[in-house]
Amino acid sequence: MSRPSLQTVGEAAFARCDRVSAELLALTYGTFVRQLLLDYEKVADVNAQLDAVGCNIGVRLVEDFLAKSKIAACNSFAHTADVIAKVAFKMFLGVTANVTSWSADRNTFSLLFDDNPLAEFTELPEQCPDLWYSNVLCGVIRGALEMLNMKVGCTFVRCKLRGHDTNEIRVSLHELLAEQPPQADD
Amino acid sequence: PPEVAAHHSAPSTMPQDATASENQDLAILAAKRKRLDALGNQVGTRLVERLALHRSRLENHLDMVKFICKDFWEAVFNKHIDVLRTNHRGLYVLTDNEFRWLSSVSPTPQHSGLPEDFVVFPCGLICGALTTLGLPCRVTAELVPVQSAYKCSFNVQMIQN
Repeated sequence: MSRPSLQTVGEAAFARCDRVSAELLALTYGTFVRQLLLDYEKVADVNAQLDAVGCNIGVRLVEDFLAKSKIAACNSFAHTADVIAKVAFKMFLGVTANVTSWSADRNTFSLLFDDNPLAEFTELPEQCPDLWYSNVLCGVIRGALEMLNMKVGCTFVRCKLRGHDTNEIRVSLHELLAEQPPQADD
Repeated sequence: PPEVAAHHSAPSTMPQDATASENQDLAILAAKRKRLDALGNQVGTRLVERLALHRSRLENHLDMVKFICKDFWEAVFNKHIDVLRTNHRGLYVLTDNEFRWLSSVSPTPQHSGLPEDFVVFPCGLICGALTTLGLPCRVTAELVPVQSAYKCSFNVQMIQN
């Protein structure tokens, strides 16, 4: 499947989904992160919690994704990357990401996106400059790909809230548990 | 015009014959719900400020509740409230015949929690929003399963200052 058609698939999936107000999402997520900051002393623990919560979401979300996106099985990791950027991001966040910076072994890539609906109305508090505010996204990607037999590492490397020029998530494939991702159980 | 609601029902999910450890579990559950309610409250406070930004001042309590039923409900749940009833003495009952946030929740509770747990946050949302508009209140919810969804009634009881 070529790139423009993935974009179309993403837009179609986005149109099919029930939507929730972006303000409600941003405010709710912000309140949630704020509560985690109150509950955990170390910012590193908050980052880890956000990732863990995201992973739980991803594990469940991937079923919804496969059901609603009507996407065929990906035949390569590069294809998977494009599907995440063009279909999954569009479907669940309403924005499209760009896939760049492939490593030489084609196992690591970066997702770049300028608009982050989670971080609307948000400023990082001065006392926690090490917070990866939207770390939940890393967990979601990791959890979702785990269900498709891909063990990946997923980390934020750039975040606009920290003053970087864009948002960047680095995804690297550690292990492919099966040659082909399984079909959804239905 | 809103009808008069006569009934005051206090929904209770707590069993009467609980042992000590069950009591402890219930206390933990109650504490969790309280935190969740507080989070909803904060979100409601902020959200309603944004929604009401370009509106003229809401004159009375009924207008405030109507604003919640229409604009707020539309923004949060993508629909209007189905029925609004009031006793004109500080009690408002907002009924949503098909509450969206529970449309994917199974009526048989498993480890993921009771359906009631899923309305704690919305109760906080509504309470935070109304309190910010100028109607300090307590909000509780009653759930009635209907086919594949839940009919959800939010009881808004004004707190007298």
